[in-house]
Amino acid sequence: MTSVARAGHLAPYFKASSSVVSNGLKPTVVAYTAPEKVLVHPLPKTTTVQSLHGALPIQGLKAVAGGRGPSHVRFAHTDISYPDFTAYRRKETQDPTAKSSESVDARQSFTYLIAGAGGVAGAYAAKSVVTHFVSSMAAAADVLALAKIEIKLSEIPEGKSVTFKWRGKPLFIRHRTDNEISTEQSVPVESLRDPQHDNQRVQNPKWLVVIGVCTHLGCVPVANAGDFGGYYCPCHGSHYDASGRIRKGPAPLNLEVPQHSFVDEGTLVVG
Amino acid sequence: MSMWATLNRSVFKKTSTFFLAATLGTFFFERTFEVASVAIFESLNKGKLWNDIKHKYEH
Amino acid sequence: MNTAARLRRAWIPLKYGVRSNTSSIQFMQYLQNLPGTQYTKLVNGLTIATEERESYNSCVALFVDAGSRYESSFENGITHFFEHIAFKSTRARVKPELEAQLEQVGARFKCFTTREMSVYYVECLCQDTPVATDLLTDCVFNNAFSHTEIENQKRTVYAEMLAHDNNPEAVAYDYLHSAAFQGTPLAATVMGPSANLYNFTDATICRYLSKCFDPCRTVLVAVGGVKHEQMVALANSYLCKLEPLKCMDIDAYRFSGSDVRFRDDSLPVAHVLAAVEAPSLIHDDYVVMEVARHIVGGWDRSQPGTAKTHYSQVVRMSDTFKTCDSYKAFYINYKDCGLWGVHFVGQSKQLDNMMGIVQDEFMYLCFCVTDTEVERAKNFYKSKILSKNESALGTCMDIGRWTLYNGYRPSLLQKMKAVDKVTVEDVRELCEKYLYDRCLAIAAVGQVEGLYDYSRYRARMYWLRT
Repeated sequence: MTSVARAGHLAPYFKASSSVVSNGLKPTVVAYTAPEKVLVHPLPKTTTVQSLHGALPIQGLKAVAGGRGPSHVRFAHTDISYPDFTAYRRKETQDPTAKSSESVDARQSFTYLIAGAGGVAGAYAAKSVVTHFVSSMAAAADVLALAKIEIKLSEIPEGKSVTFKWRGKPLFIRHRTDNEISTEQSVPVESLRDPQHDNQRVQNPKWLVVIGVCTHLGCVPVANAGDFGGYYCPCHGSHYDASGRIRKGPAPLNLEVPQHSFVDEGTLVVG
Repeated sequence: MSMWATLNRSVFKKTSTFFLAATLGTFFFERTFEVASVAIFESLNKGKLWNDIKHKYEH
Repeated sequence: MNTAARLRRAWIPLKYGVRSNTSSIQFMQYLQNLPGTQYTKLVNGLTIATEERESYNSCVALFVDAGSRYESSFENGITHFFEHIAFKSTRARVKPELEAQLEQVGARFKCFTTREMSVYYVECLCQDTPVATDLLTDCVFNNAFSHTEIENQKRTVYAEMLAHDNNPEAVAYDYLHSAAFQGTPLAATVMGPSANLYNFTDATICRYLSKCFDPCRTVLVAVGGVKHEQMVALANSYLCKLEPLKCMDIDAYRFSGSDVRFRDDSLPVAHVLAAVEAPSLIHDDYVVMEVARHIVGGWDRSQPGTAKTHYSQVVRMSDTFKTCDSYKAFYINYKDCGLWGVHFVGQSKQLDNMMGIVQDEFMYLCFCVTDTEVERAKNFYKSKILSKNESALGTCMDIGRWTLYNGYRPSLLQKMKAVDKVTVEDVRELCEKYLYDRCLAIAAVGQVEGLYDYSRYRARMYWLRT
């Protein structure tokens, strides 16, 4: 942007009338010599019509109205020189002989890289803020901590069924003996009320992981009791076997097997 | 430097490629930033975190 | 006709009356049979180019590579000033004698100066060519630099400056250059600042001429019923005395995206120019950008017929929304750079809308321009070239300019072939190269209040949808 200045850029070039009288011969000096020293007069202190009109190169060309002297001083558009913005330029374009098309890629890429990096940072910040507020609606840490349970299997002796509290419910972990395993695996599936083969219920046959809630009306069965060597619910007399399946009694379904995984040899993670 | 500039031009010229590059950049930046900041945090608080004293309580 | 043929016809659009790349055989043969341009270079570096025609008139011109671009800020305007004293008196003929001889020839002696070159030419009958050439070369290279003449012409030039000022379009183009090429010599105007008139004395003029009017920067062109040998002989007799000077080379330019507005609400309209940097005259991409310019075209409200069905969307939009009084695409080119853009004239409140329409057209050129439009523009451009080169004067100007910058001028056949080669992919690719996401230079004169910020227009030079 530039603002139009009427006479601020005009330095009146007053020269003495030419003292070089041409003799009509072409000067023999061939090499280009520097221009003569230009006498620059300082700008008039006040830019009145009178002071400005003295700066006109030809005195005769000015508008006169009222007969009391010039009232209107005309300068040309060509007298206005474009201001110098070198201080604001980037280094690549400061040189007046630098072709801008050579450096345009570098200059634009720099700007867009900064813009892109700012965009990446902004996107990261926005995502952080949004996830922070959205995750505040998710489950609290204590609830999440109780959601899984990790059990050391080496502490459970063979044949024993251990009870843990998990998600508010009893969890039975039974270290089965080989006898129990073979017995359960050879039970015909069709004869069961809720037909499920033992392999469908355990990942590792040595370990039975079931939730200790009777599927009849929700009591807690007793371990190592009942007619089938598994669990017995004392409330209404449901008998479960060593695979947690219902054999006798009013319960309709087998004991629920929760999601569990053996993370390594001696550790079981339930949930 | 100019080769880098012309290469970048192929990314920055179209808005779609620019946006794509910014999105991918965000993913990688987020992961890198998290790894870096966690590493710095752990190094600044060496000896005070559970991971450092866990070995005393395992048996 | 069966389904396959019908589908094929529907898929490939019909070109109504627009002939495609193949020009007819006879036309090509005609072009091949045109007399070629002959070139000779004298010992002192002067180039002579002639094209012989079967005509009784001829046009002889002296092209000098000296314009406002080669002047220092102290001398700015001196080449134009020299024009005014060129035909006044020479060392061989005093003023009354010279004037008598000039009138006697019955020819038209003219001259003009641009930022890059100075041209002195004469149109005369063939038999007067030797006399005219003699007078021409005498006036240009043998000037007497008479003191009274210089002082008298200062008044004339100053009046010319004021008249130039009253032409807002010319002022706008001057501002465009001063903004787009700021800080470099190309920014200077042809006439220079009015204060420089003080600096023009016979010594300064003489020194400037000895710097710039050098035979290796001069071309003598003759078109018409003249033979090449005849012109060479004439040149040898009149111009062989010129000594070659060391050719100086200040071909510096730097394009800057910029903006300049001169608000003058007393003017009835606003003249707005918006340009980007473009290839030079001798660049390979020049032809494609010329075709692109003719795709944008021009229009003004006085053109008869309804603009609502015009082929150009700029015209349709401008007419529907009454955004401009006229617009035209321009392409100013120099030997190493150029300015390609659109000039439109409108009312203050509609300037922003018009800029939007124009810039939409720029983006359209980069991505969506169609085959038909390119073909139409090519035809337009070809007919323009041919009609310009029809007259001896037009050809003379063409030869002179090309020879000065390029060393030789491509023949009409080569020009037609170059235009024929342009395809729609070329236009899209080069428009994207020169227009897409590039800085604009904007110059506006008149009631420009309605033209918004530069950043707004810079932002419209790309599309977010790509």
